[in-house]
Amino acid sequence: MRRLFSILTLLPLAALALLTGACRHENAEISRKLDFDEFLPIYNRYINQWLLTQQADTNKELVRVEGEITAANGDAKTPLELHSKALKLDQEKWKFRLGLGDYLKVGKIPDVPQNLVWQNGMDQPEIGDPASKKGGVFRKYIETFPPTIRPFGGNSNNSFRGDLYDNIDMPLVGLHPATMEMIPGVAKEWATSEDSRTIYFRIDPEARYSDGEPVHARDFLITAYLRVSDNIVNPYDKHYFREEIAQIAMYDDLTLSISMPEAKLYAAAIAGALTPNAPNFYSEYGADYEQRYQWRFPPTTGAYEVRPQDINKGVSITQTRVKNWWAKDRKYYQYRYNPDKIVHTVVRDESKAFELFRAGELDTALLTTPELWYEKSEMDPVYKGYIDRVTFYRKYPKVPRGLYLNVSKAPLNDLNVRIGIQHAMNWQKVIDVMFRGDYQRLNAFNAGYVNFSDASITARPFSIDSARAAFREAGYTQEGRDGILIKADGTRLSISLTYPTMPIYDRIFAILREEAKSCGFDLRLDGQEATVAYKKEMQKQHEMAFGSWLITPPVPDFHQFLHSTNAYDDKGNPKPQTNNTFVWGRADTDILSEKVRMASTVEELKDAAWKLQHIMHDEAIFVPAFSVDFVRVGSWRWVRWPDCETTRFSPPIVYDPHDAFVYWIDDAIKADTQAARRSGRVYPESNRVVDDYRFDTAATKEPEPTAPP
Amino acid sequence: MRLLGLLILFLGALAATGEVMNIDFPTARWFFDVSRQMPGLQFKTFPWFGWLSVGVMVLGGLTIIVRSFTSGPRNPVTVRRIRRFCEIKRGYYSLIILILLGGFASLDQVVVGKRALAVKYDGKWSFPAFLPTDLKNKDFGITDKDAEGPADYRKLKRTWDQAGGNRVIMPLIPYDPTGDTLPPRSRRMEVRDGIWYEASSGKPYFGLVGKYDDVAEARLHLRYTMRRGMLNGPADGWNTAGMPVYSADYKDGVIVSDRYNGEGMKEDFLKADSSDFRAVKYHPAPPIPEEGNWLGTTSQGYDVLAYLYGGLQVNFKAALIYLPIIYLIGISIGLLMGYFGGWFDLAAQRIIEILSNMPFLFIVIILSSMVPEKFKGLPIILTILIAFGWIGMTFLMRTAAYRDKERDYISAAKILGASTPRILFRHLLPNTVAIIVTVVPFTMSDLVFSLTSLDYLGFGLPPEYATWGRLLNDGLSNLSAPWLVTSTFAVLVGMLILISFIGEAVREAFDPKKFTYYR
Repeated sequence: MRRLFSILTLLPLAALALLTGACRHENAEISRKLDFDEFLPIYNRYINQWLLTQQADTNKELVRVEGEITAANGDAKTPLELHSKALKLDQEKWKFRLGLGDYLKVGKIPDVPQNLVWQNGMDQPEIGDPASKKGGVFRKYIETFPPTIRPFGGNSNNSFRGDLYDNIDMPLVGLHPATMEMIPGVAKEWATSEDSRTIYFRIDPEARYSDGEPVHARDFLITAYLRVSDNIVNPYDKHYFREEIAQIAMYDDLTLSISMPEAKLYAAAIAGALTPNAPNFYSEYGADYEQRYQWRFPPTTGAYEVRPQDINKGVSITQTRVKNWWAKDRKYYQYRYNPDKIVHTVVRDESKAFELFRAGELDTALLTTPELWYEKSEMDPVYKGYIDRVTFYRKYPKVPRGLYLNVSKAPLNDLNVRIGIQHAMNWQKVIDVMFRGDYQRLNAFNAGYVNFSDASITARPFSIDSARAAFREAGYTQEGRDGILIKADGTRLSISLTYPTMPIYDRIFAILREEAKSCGFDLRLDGQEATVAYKKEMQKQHEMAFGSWLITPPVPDFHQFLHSTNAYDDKGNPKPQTNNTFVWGRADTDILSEKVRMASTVEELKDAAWKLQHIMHDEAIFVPAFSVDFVRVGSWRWVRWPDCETTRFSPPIVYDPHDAFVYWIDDAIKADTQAARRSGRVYPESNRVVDDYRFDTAATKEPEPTAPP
Repeated sequence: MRLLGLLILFLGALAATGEVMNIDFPTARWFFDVSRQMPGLQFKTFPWFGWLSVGVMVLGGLTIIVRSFTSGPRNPVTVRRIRRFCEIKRGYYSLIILILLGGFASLDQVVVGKRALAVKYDGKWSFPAFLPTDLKNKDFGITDKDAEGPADYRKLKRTWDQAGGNRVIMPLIPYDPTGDTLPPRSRRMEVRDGIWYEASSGKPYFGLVGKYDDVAEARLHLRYTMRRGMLNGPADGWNTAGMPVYSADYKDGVIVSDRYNGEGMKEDFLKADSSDFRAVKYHPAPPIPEEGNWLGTTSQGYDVLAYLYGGLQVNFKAALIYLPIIYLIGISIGLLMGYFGGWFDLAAQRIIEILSNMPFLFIVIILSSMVPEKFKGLPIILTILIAFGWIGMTFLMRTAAYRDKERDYISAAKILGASTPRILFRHLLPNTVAIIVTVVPFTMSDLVFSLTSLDYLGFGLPPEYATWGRLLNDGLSNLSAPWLVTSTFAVLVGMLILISFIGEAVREAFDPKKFTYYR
């Protein structure tokens, strides 16, 4: 009995001891300071270790493959040789990176080579209109309130970050949105090393953060530190800094260099996309960074900042133009970023947003879809001239929107079937019926890059006879009772098409299906909920899939779609979770797509990209759908857009004209328009087409050769 | 009754003849079509379901006819009830209209379809609508790039009507309900005092106008924007290959600027042969009688009238399958519950309670996402509806059986030694017929309503079926195209009203308080 009692008394004591211990642990002070200096050697050691293991792995793999090559014979040899070639490239990469020394390096000015050729990119045309005026408030809407305004860390990759950071922050070196040439940002000058892998930057001595502090070279090292630190869960950035960047080095307050593991075209712009981070703002950086910095806007080198009182949670966020912005008189920035304030209000419904635009509560609206352009925006404020409508033809690379054929599935492994499918898809009818003839047929994968797309490739047109001829070639010689072609062994020509169900897609594919039927081809529509469709595609379980990937300029990407490492896994099965939805892998396309990735001259890249486009066309693995070459914008007449020698409406290489920040608000016109609305006075209607950039690419196009009789 | 038997017999015979002779008879072809399309209803190449249906129809029809001769005089009560029904004119005429509609719906491709009823080519007649396979364009002497495609009879009719000689007779509505996307429509325009008006309209035109290379195929040559009947705003031009080559800007009918990017001279391009100004009507297009779209087009580009007809067919088809099955299940189980009572009744009631508490819509959503695409169609939707539809009937029959099983005529039948099924179906059932008949019309309207609402929500039939629900949905998302909503709404409400009128009249006529043995 006594023993029981003692146990009973001991239990709470033990529990108390445990609890207090836990409490003490909870209360422990979190270190909140910018311990960059302690971090530096640790991270450099980590990268060095990582490189050494990678090198050892590659060496081991190379020895194995070399052994297999000597054992193998005939056809089996070629893929192994390619593999060994790729491994040798890797080996060279690890060697180069190990030779660089510290990953985050604090060097001295004499370390900078003497023979560098410095560029400043000042020979490009200005952006925007000299007639632009500063001032006014620009009102736009966002569909959801962002979960955070931190630039990195959990949830920071939300749809609002473009407006807050990506379109505003000044990179070291940017790309001119009309010529795709490099222009200065925070860096005043830059130079490329002899092996083209290292880019040296000289920071503009006048570059300031919005809090007035100058920008230092060290701030770029801090950018890396903040993102790879274990204080946050950030696998994407950690991977990026570890594998896509070989070294970040500073030499004095205003000189730094960034090295890439491989030489690349546009290396200065790719490496120079890095933005600095103000060290004093992150003085409380620690394990609770994500909570602590949730609603704090960091000092920016860009034109707009968010002041704490302008965050109205769940309702709106207002950006304010930085007072005395350091770049306000710089050549490429002087006519941009004009409004004093940009107000983003949450409007959860697209049609409600349109109504607000109609009422004049929002300043502009994108009206690209035919419904918005031809029906909803046929309204009084337009007829009365209060709202200007503009169709702007841009030169943004065309989204590779179309049908991706999975060549690992029969009968799509047969080239003739694929060619037949190309001819059996009546995209022109889709464009004429659904898009009112305004959109254009897409002609090839990765079309529309100024230098890197071959405009002479034309998509195969819809033709019943050509389709049937190709199917006949593939062995589909008879016709079933329902008009669908069949092989002699009874196999029907029936292939499923996976796509995400949306009313517009359902309509498009209903047209394709009925037109395909007249070619004797049964196109089975497999409309799935968007995530299910995507999953099916990523598992490579689809036969054909409708997709569109957004690839950002200036360089097209083929590697992720065509390279064999993304097509098959070690066992030879289609590899899941890669973007190679063609499940396409061939030695020559592997080499070419690597070349596109690592070309160091424009000619080299162009040659490889054109060849790849031709291969994709000849192999007919991608059925190009349609492209939208224009943006249609409605804007109240007080929103002015450039109309001058260098810029017509907007620079041409933008996805959305708003992203270039060339518009401005004219308060006098605004007052006049508001008065006119009250008194019923009208202006002439304005419906403008800006097609200065429209026919550029079409001019070189050859007419479609007629088929031999 | 005899007539019904004859009709069923005729249908069965027609289906068999069609199959043997390779002729597609309207409606009768359906049994073999289903047998070929649905997996599992065909043994290798032998469409057993088709032949089974033929057998059932022929035998059933014969039995009904024979019975009508052998069964003696009709029940005087039933005769009186029918007479009473005929006296209620509203219900009586509604029934006649509904039967006529049913007959009309069963005419199928004779009324609605893109395939010609008869074609006279080179002095020889052929009947494409009644052939199971499509004829090709090349069969009618067309040798362009579409030669091997299925014949386009509308185009043939257009060309031959001008040329003469050959003839094409099209169905009343020359469009398929689905799978027949029409090119964008256009309408004639006229000019008065330099201002353009849409044909027979008093208001100057606002909208797009086009000059066409080919009006019927909607191949545009030039397209302008018009305001107050004058060219105002941007214009576009396409070459014969369909490439955009021309753009211009107009102000009050006067050209401000233009640019041409094609081959040859701009003047030649502008002067090229094309139609007069026509008002361009993209889908959904308003009713344009001159184009043959009496009720306009849907946003998919289907003819609304043809689509409504297709929806009517689907509704009738569904009702003809659904009603017999749920009544068979519901009546049997309900009668058994009431007749046996006790444990069977309790157990069956609990099962029914479980079933009726399942959220119907969720089940439909889950099932429709689980079913593989090749099984999707009317059968699967009907199966789901049937799985839940029989419940309502059981309770009515259960109470009726409870009430009647204590009556003398049941006891008499028992004493005579009648078996349970005989008591149930020969004695009990005919005495509860009033209950059944009165709910039939309402079950039908329920079915039409639930099919429509399921389609409206997007969980109904696949897009190959024309359904009123989808059309209603289309109309509500395109309120600027009022012809979609109004026509669908009118048809749906009209149908439901007809059925309700019949139902009311039947209830009135079969009212047990009026004619009954038991006062």
